[in-house]
Amino acid sequence: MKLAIASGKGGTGKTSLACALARALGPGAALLDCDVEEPDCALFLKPVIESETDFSVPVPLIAPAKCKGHGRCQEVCEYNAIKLFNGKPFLFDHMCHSCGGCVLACPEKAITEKAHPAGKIRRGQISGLFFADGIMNIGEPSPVRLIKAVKKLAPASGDVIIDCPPGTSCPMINAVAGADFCLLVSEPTPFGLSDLKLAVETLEKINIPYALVINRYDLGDKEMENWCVEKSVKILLRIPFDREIATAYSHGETMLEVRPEYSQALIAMFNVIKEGLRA
Amino acid sequence: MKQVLILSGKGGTGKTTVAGAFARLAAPCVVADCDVDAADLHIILSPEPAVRQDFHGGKKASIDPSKCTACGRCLQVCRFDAVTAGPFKISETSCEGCGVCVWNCPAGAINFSEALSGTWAISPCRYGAFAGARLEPAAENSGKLVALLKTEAVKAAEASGAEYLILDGSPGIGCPVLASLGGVDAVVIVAEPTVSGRHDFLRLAELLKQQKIKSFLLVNKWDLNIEETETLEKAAAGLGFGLLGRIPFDPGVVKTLLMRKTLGETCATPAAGAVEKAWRALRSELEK
Repeated sequence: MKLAIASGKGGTGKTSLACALARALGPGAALLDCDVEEPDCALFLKPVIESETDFSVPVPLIAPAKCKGHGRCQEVCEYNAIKLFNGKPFLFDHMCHSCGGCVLACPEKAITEKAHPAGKIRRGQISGLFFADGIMNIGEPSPVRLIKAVKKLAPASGDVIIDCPPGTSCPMINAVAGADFCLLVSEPTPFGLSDLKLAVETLEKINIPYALVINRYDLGDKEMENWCVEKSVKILLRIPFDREIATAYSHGETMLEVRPEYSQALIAMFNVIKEGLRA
Repeated sequence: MKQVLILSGKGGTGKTTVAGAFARLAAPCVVADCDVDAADLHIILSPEPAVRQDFHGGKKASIDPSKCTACGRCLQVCRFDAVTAGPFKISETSCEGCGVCVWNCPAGAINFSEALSGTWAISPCRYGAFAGARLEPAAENSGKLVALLKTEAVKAAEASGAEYLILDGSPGIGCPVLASLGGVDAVVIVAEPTVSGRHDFLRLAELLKQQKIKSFLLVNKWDLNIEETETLEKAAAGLGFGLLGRIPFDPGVVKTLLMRKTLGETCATPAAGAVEKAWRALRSELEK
């Protein structure tokens, strides 16, 4: 099963849960950290990194000698990444989405592509648990290509946990896309509920089944629980606020280091999801 | 008019709580919620209802099945895995609106039209004016919407004569964050003293260094891990960032939020006191 862990709101415990669950599942499973803007899973899982490769995206390379200044490139670029000044094309490469349109459009074949470094991909393992993450270069605007590349590293067999970025727009969508199920992690505050509603709306739109884990459930109010009853959103686990877990987290440890008893609860939850999908 | 942007790198460190309290302390001011992906600031500022303006973030391609000859050219040219075969279809959520399939389709079977990506509005709230936007679920181009919202908020701030524009930012370091940086006078980074908090702080800090933006650190829940708090402060000072102090872990923060109030609005709590002190420190830095 491919299980995405997402939230809408940031800081609700996605990474903590993803790491604890991956560790509980152990050898044969895989964890993909797709929060490439702020990848933190490695801090908690401390994987042995076996390979690190550069990730790049194609951007146009214009041969000035061949360019006759037709301006077809400027015409077809929906992102305003190429502009002609005095009949000469000028590239704004941070605006480029690497669609390759200008390459196809140029009547003089004056445009080829070059690799623009956009990040890194790392692969490794934690005693038999497969690990991969993406680290977006600082200053890059879009994490989407890198997220897609990290997802392609999922081993052909075994369970896969995907730690997703916060929000509900393109980075989150691309991280969640293709998952069999999405586990949403939230906290029962007005902010948590508001963002949960957006995340649910998004998952409904892209047809991915989901359920909820409420973190720090004893710190908020009952509105999230009531909303879940009303909308028939399943709550699979409630985790109380626990200063021990918070402190362990601050040192880069998962909840399993201080509360190993959660291991069974997490595996049980995972199996409930799996069985639910089979049914 | 000075623009103060609240960022964090890592999500859920307390940006919106700090932004709400700063808005109260800076009143009358203009406040804008630049986290259009998961906007929450309106919950504690309760702006008056306003007519919302549509935001079109870009175009989306769609295939007209009556004209499609199933030649597969669209599938060949699309770099975003948005086209699926049999019958040919374009996924609305994967389409990045590049239009390459549209002009490459020999049958002219692909439509290309503006998609509604979100809405925005500016309306009065109890501390001045509130600018808020909402991205449609699964929509794209949050960066463009942030840029638009910021432009409108700056106009409103200039027109009203407000001294401050308070901007609540997005987590991460990608396009919505980049779009919120233009023209800001100071960034306040709200960070928590954890291993991941430090990691994410350093990535954001490097971005702000690159962009040469005056930045300040405000540590939230500092007493969760005193060593990490000190490490964060040392790192920030080393980067030339100002230090705005430490906010303690305080159950009063969630209680205030549950009442849908800004921190310090209804009662003095330890966290509220720390945020007020931070605001005074920031203000005196900006008025130097």
